[in-house]
Amino acid sequence: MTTTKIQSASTVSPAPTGTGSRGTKVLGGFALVFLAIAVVYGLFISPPDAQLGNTIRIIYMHVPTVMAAYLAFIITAVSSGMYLWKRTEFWDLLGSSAAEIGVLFFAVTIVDGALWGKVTWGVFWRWEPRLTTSAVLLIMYIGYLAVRAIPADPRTRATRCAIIGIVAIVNVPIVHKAVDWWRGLHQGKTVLGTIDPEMGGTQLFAMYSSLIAGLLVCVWLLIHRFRAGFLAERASDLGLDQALEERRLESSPATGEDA
Amino acid sequence: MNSSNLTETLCIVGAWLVTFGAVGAYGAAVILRGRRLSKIVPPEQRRWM
Repeated sequence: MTTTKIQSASTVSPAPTGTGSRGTKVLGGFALVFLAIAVVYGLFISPPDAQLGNTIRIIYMHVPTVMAAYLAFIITAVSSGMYLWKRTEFWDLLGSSAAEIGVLFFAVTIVDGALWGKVTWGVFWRWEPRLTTSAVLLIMYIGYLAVRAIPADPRTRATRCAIIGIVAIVNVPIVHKAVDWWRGLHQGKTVLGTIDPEMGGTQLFAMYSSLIAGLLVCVWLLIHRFRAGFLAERASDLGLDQALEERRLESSPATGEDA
Repeated sequence: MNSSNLTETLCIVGAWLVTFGAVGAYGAAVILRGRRLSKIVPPEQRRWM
């Protein structure tokens, strides 16, 4: 019996000292490899595009970041729906973590697009359909994070965020199809269409390398952010427990006097 | 190098720096936050769901 106890104790892995794990290290390693390939091919080996010239090197960052943002927003919407169904902390934390990462990637997408616009159009920003709908999308998800930051009962806060997470995803296909539905300055191809079938060789390799790198980094960040959020909830619970204990100790002598 | 080429180069380098800088800084902040919180939360509560 003693042997069984010793064996079971030895098989229990030590508690993690951060948000990392073997899985995140492997994932991070793959992401770094693809990032290195993307840098080398995207900045140095890939030739200038016939139409876009050297600005295609901005597209190598612009497309992966927007795809990562879309992935994060879809995860937010699915998690929001699952939270409203299951009402568990897991789905609430996953949705909020993905929303934060989506905002990060989408903000970077807009900045990269503005830099591309400066070279191509001569201005950083135009209120044309794709850019306007993109700005609305970003503001909606910033709103999600703002609602998340409002002090409230955790279940109430999670429900509010879940509703916003489901409503906000409606804007993603609108942004995606804005170039087809309305006439604007933004190039007519969709995000997926940006990976031009006529693009070949090192350009295509650079595009796919940066796309895979962007998606891997997005998932890697999401795992770390989810775990940090989980730890923050536990720390918050501990703080609340401690405050309640202090309050109980403070009230104990008074109770004694009354008695 | 004329001004349009300079603008193009600055915008390309700027786009890559913004992307790597923002994502890298966010990743570092999340990892450091996780390490700080791990010191507060007892080991038995540090299991993932």
